[in-house]
Amino acid sequence: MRTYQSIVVIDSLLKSEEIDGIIEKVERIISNNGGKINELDRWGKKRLAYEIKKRQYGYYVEFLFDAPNNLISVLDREYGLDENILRYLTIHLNARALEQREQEKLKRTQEKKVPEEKEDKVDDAPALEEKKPATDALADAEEESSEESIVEPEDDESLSKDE
Amino acid sequence: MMKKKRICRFCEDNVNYIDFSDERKLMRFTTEQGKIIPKRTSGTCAKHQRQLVRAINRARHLALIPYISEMTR
Ligand SMILES: [Zn+2]
Repeated sequence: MRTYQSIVVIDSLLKSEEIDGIIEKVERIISNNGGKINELDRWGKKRLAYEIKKRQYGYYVEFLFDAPNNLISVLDREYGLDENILRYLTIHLNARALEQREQEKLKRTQEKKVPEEKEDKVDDAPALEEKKPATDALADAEEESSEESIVEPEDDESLSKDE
Repeated sequence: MMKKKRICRFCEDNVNYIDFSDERKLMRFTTEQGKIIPKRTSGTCAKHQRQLVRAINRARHLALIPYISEMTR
């Protein structure tokens, strides 16, 4: 059993019962195949950064669950068959990822208590804006990005271990 | 010649994992056009740049951030 995170972007034009139905279906697939859901987080309706299937909004749901390896392919197949699922991503979370996640969550709850500010000062990062490069300097970064196949379902965080 | 001091912000913050769902943070490492800022510009180390690129690609895939942005900030 390993811990996985699955994000599902559902067509937000569906009725809320239909959205609930898809969420329940995912829960059912996970539990019927030997998995156990630890967290179900509805991020809710969000504007998509780009249009998908003529939709400008998506309903985002996050599942955090323990599962045997073979469940992931079952899940991704089901996601792929559902035309109301605009996007999905399932990744394995290693211990570091889980730890980082807890820290971020803590930070976020603290952030919520502070009144909303224009700049995100919680992690007081130096502004990168000043250092924006000329467009021609970007080529190699974009090349690097092509290394990863994003739809690969079984993607463990091996990179962080290798270092 | 002046040596510019480049510090990896992720190393500085002891980051072990870059979360793809933190759109605001990821956007700081992209240009106005939505392209990933190369590590020699941002100062990010190779390890974290790889993690960053992966996180950005995941966020792009989920339409959390654009592949190419027409908006200016
Ligand atoms: Zn680093």
